[in-house]
Amino acid sequence: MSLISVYGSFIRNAFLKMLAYRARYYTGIATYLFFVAVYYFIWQAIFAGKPEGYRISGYTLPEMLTYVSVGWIARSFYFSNIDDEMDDLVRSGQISVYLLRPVNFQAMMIFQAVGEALFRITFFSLPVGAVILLCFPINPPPSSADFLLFALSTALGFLTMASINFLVGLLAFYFKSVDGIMRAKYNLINLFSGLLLPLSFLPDWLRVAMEVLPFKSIAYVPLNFYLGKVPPEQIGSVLAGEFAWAFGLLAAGMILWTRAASRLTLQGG
Amino acid sequence: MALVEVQNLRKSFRTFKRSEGILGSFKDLFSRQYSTLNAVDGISFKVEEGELLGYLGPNGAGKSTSIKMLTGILKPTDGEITVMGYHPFRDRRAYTAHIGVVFGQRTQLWWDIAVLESLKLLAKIYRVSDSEFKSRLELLTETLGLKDLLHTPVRKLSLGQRIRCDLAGSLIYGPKILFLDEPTIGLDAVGKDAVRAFLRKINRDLKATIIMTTHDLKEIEELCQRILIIDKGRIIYDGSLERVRTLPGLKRRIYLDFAGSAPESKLNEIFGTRVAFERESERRLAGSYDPRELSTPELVKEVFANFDVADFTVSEPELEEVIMKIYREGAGAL
Repeated sequence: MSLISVYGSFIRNAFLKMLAYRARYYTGIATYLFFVAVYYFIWQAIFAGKPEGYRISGYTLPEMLTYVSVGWIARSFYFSNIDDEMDDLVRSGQISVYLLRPVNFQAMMIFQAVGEALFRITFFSLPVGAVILLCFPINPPPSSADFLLFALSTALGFLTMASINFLVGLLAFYFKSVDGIMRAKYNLINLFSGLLLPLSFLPDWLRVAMEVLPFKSIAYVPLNFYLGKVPPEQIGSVLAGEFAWAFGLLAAGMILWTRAASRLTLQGG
Repeated sequence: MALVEVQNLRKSFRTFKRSEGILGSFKDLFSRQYSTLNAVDGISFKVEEGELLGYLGPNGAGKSTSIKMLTGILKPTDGEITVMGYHPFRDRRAYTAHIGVVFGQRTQLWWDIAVLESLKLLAKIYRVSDSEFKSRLELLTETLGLKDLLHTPVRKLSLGQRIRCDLAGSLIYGPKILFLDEPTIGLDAVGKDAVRAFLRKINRDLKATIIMTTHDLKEIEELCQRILIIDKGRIIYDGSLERVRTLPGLKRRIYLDFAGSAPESKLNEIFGTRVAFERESERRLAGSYDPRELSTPELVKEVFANFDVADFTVSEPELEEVIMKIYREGAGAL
């Protein structure tokens, strides 16, 4: 019980912290609308002149437009910058303060990310979603079960993303600068998660690799749940795969953390 | 068993030697040369419960590195630390629940939220019961004068205010031992006084064990019964403040006031190199001398025999002078 209240307080604090900077988010809303509009028009251009019901790599135009819009709305929730924060902590030496607390560092970072995600879902995902819904035609999920699967899958996607970010953040203990790695990760994840386009568009060899790797949990899998495109007999195994990757990456982070912490060198100050 | 036991503690950092010039930079891409720096080089000491220990040394001597090992932040390269039976690095999560730490140069409170929220969060992290939190908060608010600061975000506090809030943060969960790394750095005289008074009070009234590093010697003089001086990673002095003042080779000062103009040249003639005189004002001279070479009574007798002196005072060497000498001359001074 008290464990819940300890880590629950990290969620609360992160929420309060975000609240202190809420103005920053109003500009963010515009950026997201812009992204959705760009992809909206790109897909319309690609499908232009095609008969209704025409499919590219398994997606019709309305499905594709829904995929893109919901994809960006979901992104505002699962996004986290644990890696960036860890890099800052190590570089500024503020990591000392975090190490002085009798808590699990990885759990603390992830719960803080949960607090930020909860902030964004209320002050960002919902308003952005409402505006996008008004501006662009988005199909609702075929059934409420599909929506629940989408929500569960997005939650697992959040955990996967957070665990990956934690692992990337650990690199800050080894290298002087992880800026380049973080930027590469950002772009690769946008592509491999299926945010930019569904993974079925990728060449076969890459698609097969992405089927195995964890990145699809972040966008591709949840969005296909939303569109009701996951065959019922596969739902169990797809979710099991997401669970396995999320907790596997979490465990890897926990193990590597102990090693990284003993490498820490903070000279002076 | 002592509260803190340190045995042969070492921490070495591997540093990368950069070669000069563009050619050198290319060479570094393929083969790097490393050198090892022993920031802490085999130190041993013990601290008993209730002690207030001052940890001194010039910049880069290894003070902060030692504190970081004592608090479990850094893993020692070698040697043994036990604090209250814990190994700080290995048992970090269990251990840190019992210690309070304040770094003068950084805050442990959350930058963007109100001080009170930070304190509440700390109470949660350290599993402090509501009633305990309330009574401690009341005590700390009063002794540290936090009443008007509790609802301000940390980023809006002045340095002095922030340090006081940080002290509250490190004590809100009732730690048995307090580590302070330059807690008064950058504070003005009033701020320093407030922090010192507070530390004295918790050491005396609550029997808190305190280990602090500082560059402020007045602070050491006012607070610490025992000091530890570290230089180049080694302990060069461990003992009372009193003993350090009786170091051989330390000069004493005599101040002489004359009825008329001070006879500087005549004094120099009589004492030669035994006393170095400086003019403080028209009628006042200060002379420094080594008491082993020339005893104070002898000096006074000779002065009175030759001059018409209105008044005189003799002063002990200043702590600052003592420490400077130790820093300058290393262990050889002791």
